Amino acid sequence: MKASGLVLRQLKHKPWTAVLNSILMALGISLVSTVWLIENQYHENLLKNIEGIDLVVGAKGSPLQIILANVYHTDNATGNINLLEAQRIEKHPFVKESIQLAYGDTYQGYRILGTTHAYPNNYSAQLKEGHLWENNFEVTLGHSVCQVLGLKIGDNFFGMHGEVQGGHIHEENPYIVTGILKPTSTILDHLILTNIESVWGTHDKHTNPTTEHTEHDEHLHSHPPHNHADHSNEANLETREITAILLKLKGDLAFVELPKIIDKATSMKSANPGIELRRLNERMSAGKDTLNGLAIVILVVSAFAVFISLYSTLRQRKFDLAVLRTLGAPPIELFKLIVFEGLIHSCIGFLLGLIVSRIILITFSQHVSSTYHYDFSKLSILPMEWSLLLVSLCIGFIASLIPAIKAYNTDISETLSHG
Amino acid sequence: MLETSEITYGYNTNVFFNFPDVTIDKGQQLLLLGASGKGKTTWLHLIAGLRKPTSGTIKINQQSITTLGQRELDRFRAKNIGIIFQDHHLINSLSALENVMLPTSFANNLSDNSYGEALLSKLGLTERMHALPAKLSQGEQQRVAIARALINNPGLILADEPTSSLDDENCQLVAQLLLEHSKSAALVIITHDKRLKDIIPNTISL
Repeated sequence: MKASGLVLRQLKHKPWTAVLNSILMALGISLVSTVWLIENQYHENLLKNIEGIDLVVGAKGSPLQIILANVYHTDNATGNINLLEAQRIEKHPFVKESIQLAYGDTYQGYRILGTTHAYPNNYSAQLKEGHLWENNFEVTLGHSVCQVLGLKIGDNFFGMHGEVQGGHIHEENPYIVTGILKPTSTILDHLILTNIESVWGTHDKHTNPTTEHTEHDEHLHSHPPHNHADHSNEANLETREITAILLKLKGDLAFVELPKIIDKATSMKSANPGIELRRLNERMSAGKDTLNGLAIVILVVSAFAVFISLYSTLRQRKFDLAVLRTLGAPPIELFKLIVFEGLIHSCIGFLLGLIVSRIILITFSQHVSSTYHYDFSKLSILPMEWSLLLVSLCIGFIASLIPAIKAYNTDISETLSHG
Repeated sequence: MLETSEITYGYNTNVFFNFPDVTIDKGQQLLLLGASGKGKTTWLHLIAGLRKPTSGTIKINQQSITTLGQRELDRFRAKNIGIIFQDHHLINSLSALENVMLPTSFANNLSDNSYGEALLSKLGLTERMHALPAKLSQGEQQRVAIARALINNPGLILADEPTSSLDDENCQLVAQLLLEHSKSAALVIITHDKRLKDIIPNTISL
């Protein structure tokens, strides 16, 4: 049994000592790893949701808000846009594909979004049960919505106006569930989809649209100036409103020219998801840097902790080491023993760190999933996390170097005579 | 087996030891008696190659150990010298058998457990082979330490105060054990325990 074997036996003999000695290292590793994991999945999530969307067109307002409201469905919309104006943009030669979005009600905090079948198709969504909406007031549920609310095909529910609990409930038109989507890991999982006519329908029949309008400006309303009973499509079209359109563009020129056209020549505003995402990341980088800095400080402290623990146990075990020498162990074996012990601390710290970061992530994910509609569920080891193993091994090695040299130079005779 | 001539050791000008010459062959025993401060431990460390003498020569198995380098000395010690300490100094995380087998890896001997098991059995520890030192009694620990000193079949066995903390009965027992199991080696017991004089008549006083 050589040095490595001895250290492993020591570990088996007193595992908790080793764990305690590695705890600071674990803390530092877990912090870095958590930041990386969240960043990675956050990016993945954000990017997944803008797939196939080149430009978002909404009412005038902050482009970031347009993206947040209409792509990530976490913010209020900037307002509504005129359907005819939107359709003119859709027919523009720069536009390859377009998806109309119309915000309507919410149900139990989930948004009911009026759109076309092109929307779920954009995210390659597949049906788990039933069929996509066909008629008015038929809805298709995202996977999380279905899971959380426990709705089944054929269930009815009433939408609530606005997002705040206690808002007006549209009791005239129950929605009926006709389809449930498979999980897509996109925002689709957290939406209730229906056709745009259903969204219009709910609010057309509203008895007092004027007051409603001032209270909830951001929500879609159609306020035909004429008699409510008259629902001729031609008459309505002029004043019909939707919330936004998602565009897929063709040609490089479109990316430059179309936003200019929209921003200058219409009452609408365009937002490029890629650009807005980059701006959002830049704003958050300061926080990220702070966390990374903190992690580095903790890792440095952990190096000292490993050093101190090795150094102090060295004092206790001086005698053991001297005895090993009298049994014929060469000094290099004692050196290896201490270094190996430092590396063991590193490995334990690394493993604990990974475990802790995943626990943090799971906890965080449960919170975030319900609040911000994000799933952080991928727990596999990121390729760059292996570099953390390297970092912790380096820390263990450097921290054990001085104690190891001391062990190497132990005067056995002196130690055995005086303890 | 062991042959020393005119060895001296000085810690400083005030503490200076002149050691008597010692010659001992395989199968022989020697009791090195001396009160505290007479340099017993120093002598033991010199013979074991843990210190270099100020002058004089030490030959073990015809090899002068004072001329060996550090590495060779470590290997030589592992192969040729077995040391039994007063406080046993077993490794706490290793079982009795593993403690016994430990020196074999340093001597590059084949790590075959059967010899260690046989040794422990002979010392009456068949049932306690896989126990950790903390679970062993003082007497059992001492016997494990003896087995550990014997595992590499050393030509020279050095025992440092093996009996000083024992009562008369156990003193006899340990001395008998040492004699019995060191028949093929030269045994030197360094002690101030005069009780051993009756068992080992060959005595040198410091």
